[in-house]
Amino acid sequence: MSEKKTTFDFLSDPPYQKREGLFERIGWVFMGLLVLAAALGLFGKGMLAHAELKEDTFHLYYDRFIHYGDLSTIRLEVPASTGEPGVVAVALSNSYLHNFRIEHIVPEPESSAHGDQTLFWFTTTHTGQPVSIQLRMEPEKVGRLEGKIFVNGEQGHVFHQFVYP
Amino acid sequence: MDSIIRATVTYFFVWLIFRIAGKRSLAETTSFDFVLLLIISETVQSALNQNDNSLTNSFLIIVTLVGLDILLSVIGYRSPRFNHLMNSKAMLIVENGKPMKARMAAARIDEDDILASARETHGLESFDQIKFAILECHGGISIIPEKGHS
Repeated sequence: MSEKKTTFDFLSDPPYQKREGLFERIGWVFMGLLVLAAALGLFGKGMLAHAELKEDTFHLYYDRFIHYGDLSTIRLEVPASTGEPGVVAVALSNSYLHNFRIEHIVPEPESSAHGDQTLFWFTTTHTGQPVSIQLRMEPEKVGRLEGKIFVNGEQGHVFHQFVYP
Repeated sequence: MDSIIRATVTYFFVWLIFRIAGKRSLAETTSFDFVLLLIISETVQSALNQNDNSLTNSFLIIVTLVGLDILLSVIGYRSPRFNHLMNSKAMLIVENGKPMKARMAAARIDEDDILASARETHGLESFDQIKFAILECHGGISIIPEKGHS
């Protein structure tokens, strides 16, 4: 009987099995937390991912967390009362814009580059409604990006995005 | 270079997930598991290619994945410790007809799984006829019958 027991003794490694079991269980908890974080938007497209920059002269809605190669939208709302009537001027830092491929901008702007910024001009109608501008862009760089936005020649405001690989 | 990094990261990520999932996850392939594996491969494929469907990119990814597999198996061959880390260890779950409940619970294996394997491989009917059952690294259950039942 005792001889039989020793035959497969080398397969009995309780400390190893215990460590492996612990590793698996920690892994399950980690996977659960990962799914929870994803559901909340830590990896984009969720509650935690949506961000706003609210200033007196504009509201900027953007995604805090975005994916490399995936389209992301930045929406800018400018109250009708601000700036020069009929025109909205938006400038974004080139150090930010150069990390993206711009898919399209709605409405279509007139644009010009000025050193370290790109300036977009939008003509607006006089309806008294806030002007809404959307930039649909695809990130081409991974990591933390810093953007700076200037609306109607006002002081620049910084916002951050994180691009997951 | 990008393809190689992607393939390497993906290789280790998939390894980690299946290591966390445990030995039995791959061996008990039901039709649903099979479909799940297909979905996983489809998901991984688009992340690996990243819009580059060229033959060169595909070759690079294949060479990286298979190369990694060879490299790790060579290291595992030279270092049993590393091999156990990567591929786990076989585990005795039935000894002289007695199921080792704690180990079976840790590996999420019940008595029916063992009996099913005993029936399939040796046509055995009960635990009395099983000398040893071993949960192998790949998740399969090996049965060694008692003398006179093989």
